[in-house]
Amino acid sequence: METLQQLIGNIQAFTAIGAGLMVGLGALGACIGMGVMGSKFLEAAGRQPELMPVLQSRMFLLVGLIDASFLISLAIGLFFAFSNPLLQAVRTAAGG
Amino acid sequence: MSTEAPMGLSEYITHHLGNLTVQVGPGGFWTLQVDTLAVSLIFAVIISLWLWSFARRASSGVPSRGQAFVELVVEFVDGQVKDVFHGDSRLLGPLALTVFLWVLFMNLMDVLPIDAIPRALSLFGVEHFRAVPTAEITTTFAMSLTIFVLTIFYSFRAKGFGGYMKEVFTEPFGPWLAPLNLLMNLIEMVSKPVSLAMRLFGNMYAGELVFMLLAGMIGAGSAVLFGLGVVGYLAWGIFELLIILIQAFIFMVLSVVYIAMAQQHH
Amino acid sequence: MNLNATLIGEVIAFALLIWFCMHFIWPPLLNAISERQKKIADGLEAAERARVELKQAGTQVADEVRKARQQANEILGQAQQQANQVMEKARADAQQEVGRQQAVAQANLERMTQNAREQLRDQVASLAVRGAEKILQREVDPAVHKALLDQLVAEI
Repeated sequence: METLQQLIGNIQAFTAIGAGLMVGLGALGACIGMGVMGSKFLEAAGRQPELMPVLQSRMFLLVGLIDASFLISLAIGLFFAFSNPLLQAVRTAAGG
Repeated sequence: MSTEAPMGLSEYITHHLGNLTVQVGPGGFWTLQVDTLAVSLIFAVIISLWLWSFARRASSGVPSRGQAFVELVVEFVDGQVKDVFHGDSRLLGPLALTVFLWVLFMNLMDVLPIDAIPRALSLFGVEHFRAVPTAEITTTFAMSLTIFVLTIFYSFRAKGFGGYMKEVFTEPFGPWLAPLNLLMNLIEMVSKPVSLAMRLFGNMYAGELVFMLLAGMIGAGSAVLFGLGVVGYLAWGIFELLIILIQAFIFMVLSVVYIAMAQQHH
Repeated sequence: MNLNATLIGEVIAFALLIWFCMHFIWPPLLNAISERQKKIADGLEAAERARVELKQAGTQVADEVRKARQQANEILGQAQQQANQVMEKARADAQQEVGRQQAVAQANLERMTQNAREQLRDQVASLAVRGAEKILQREVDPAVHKALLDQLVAEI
């Protein structure tokens, strides 16, 4: 019984670290990407304001694309944090 | 569901992640997620009736307010399609309109209060209900797979079977590295629908999860957490509205781009 | 979040929705839009044409008005001239009449003076004759010297 608890604790700890890394690194990357893109957009808009509408729609497209990878990692991280399938496997193995 | 008072945050979220399912056959695959199907079909019917009611009596005279709005949406989609695909296509416009509106409506379920529909349905004895169909990988994969099939169909139609096979085996590195070419093309081919589906799914799923977390904070019983939760829920709701629109837009644009790419030679 | 038979249902639903949209929604709406665009373009063109026509009509009207005014001025001038002529003529007539009357009066006057002179001459002649008679009562026979007397009268 004690080993089971240890096992569960181990899995939870690693999952927490993994989820934290996923969310944090994803956020880091998305922030850098968004910052680079935003600065370039503003530069371009400053240089050629007549291109604003075209650039703006493209920018929002890219915002979504950049944001998406972060949000996917956030989703998987949160999924692991709250309903850990690995933990479920250990539980069913122990219960069975 | 009446015993939700001692429920912890983890249990609350796990409970909310459960689907209303019906087993239609043996094995894990043959389960139907009734909630996903029901909500998406309801929206499909709503969109069809809404657009059809205006399309049926569409006239070139002075448009009513509703018709003007519908035409605004249609023109927006048409403009996006024409930006990407220069040519005559009877499929791309309607496809883009369908994808955009359907995904948008299904995404919009996300900003409804997270507990509203499950709680209301729990009065009728429904245990689990997930209201956002696009936060289900099945929905997004269904759409991206349909688009994948259309991509292949249009590739065949534009290039012929031989031409397409030739492209698959010789495209990036020339005819001497045919297996490698095949592998690259297969990866490219598969990665498109997977990334398309995962992007929408991940966004909506994360949005839902964050809403659940914040709702859990609101219900945690502490005044500070309650305040934080309410503020966070509002802020995330506003951000989520932006994401919803952008993701619907991206899904539409990328579907159109994939199908348009399939029709032109490299 | 696992793939199951819902996928099939969603694919069918999606395909049906696309089919419905392709056949019943997209064509009429797009037709209506393009038709309206054409109508609006036509309307704008017609408005432009009407504007040009209006401008042309305006210049035409101004032209007409100018011409009419000119004509009126001409007519007025002619009338003035005519009136002047008439007046001139009247004045000339009047002057002529006056001259004629004067001439008549002059003639009358002259005739009357002539008459008076004749009478006077006659009277003087007869007076002279009577004086001469008185002087020459006896020796001058008027019947004899009548020719001489007449000559005298004529010389007076």
